[in-house]
Amino acid sequence: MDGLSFFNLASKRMSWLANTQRVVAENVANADTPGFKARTTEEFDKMLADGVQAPLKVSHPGHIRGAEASSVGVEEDPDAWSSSPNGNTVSLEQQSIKANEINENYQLAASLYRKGHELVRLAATGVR
Amino acid sequence: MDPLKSISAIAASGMHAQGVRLKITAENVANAGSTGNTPNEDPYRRKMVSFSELVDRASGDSKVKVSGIDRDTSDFPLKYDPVHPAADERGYVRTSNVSSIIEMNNMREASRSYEANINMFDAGRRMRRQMLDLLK
Repeated sequence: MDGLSFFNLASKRMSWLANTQRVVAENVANADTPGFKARTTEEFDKMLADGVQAPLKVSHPGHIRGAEASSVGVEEDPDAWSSSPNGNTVSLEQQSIKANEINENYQLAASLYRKGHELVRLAATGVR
Repeated sequence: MDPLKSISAIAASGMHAQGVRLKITAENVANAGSTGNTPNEDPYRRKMVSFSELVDRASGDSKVKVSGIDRDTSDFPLKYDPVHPAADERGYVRTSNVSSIIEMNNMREASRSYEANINMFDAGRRMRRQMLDLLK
C-alpha cells in the first residue's frame, strides 16, 4: 500500500503547520516581553529527513513526556524583522503574515487529504 | 499536547497579560490628578507593568505572564498653587508623575497587541475546524 504514505505525508504536513502556528502564537503573546527573541520551527523537509524523534519513555502516567510537545525543532528566527530597545525581536506584522500563510497551507493540506480519501473511495467502490 | 489546542491557551495568556496592562493604564489615567492632602503626603506614583516569558512545563508552550507591577520612581513634577492644601511653604504642590502621552501610547500598544492575540486565537480555531471538516 505505497499510495497510503500520501496520507502519512499530508498528516505530517498538517502537524508541522500546527506546530509552526503554535510557535507564531507564542511570538505574538510575547510581543512585549523584554528580551524575547522571535522563534520559528525547522523547515518541513528537514523534519521529514530527520524523522520525528520518539518521546521520552515513562514508567508512570504522571511523568512528563519531554519531547512529545516539541517533536518539531524550534529555533531562533534568523529573519526576524524588528528589534526594539528592550531586546525583543517580534514584529507583529511579520507574525500575522506568517499566520496567514500557515492557515492557507493548512487548508491546502486538508484538501489534499480529502482528495486522497476520495481517490481511495473511488478505487474501492467505483462510485464517484 | 495538541498544538492547535495550545494556540488558544497561548493566545489567552497573551490577552490576559495585555488586559492587565490596559487596566494599570486606566488606573494611571484615572489617578493622574491625585495629589496628597498635606505637604508631606506623596501624590499618586505611576504604576508600570512588566512581562516575562512563562514556559508551561507540562506542554512546553511558552506563554506570557505579568511578572510584576512596579512604581515609577521618577521625580514628581511641581506645580505652583499656593492655596492647595498640599502646597509647601514656597507654594508648590507635588503632582503625580503620570504623563498622559505615555499612557495614551501604552493604551494603544496594549489594544493592538490584544487584537493580534485575538487574531491568533481565530487562526487556531479556523485550523481546527478545517481538520474536523475532514471527518465529515
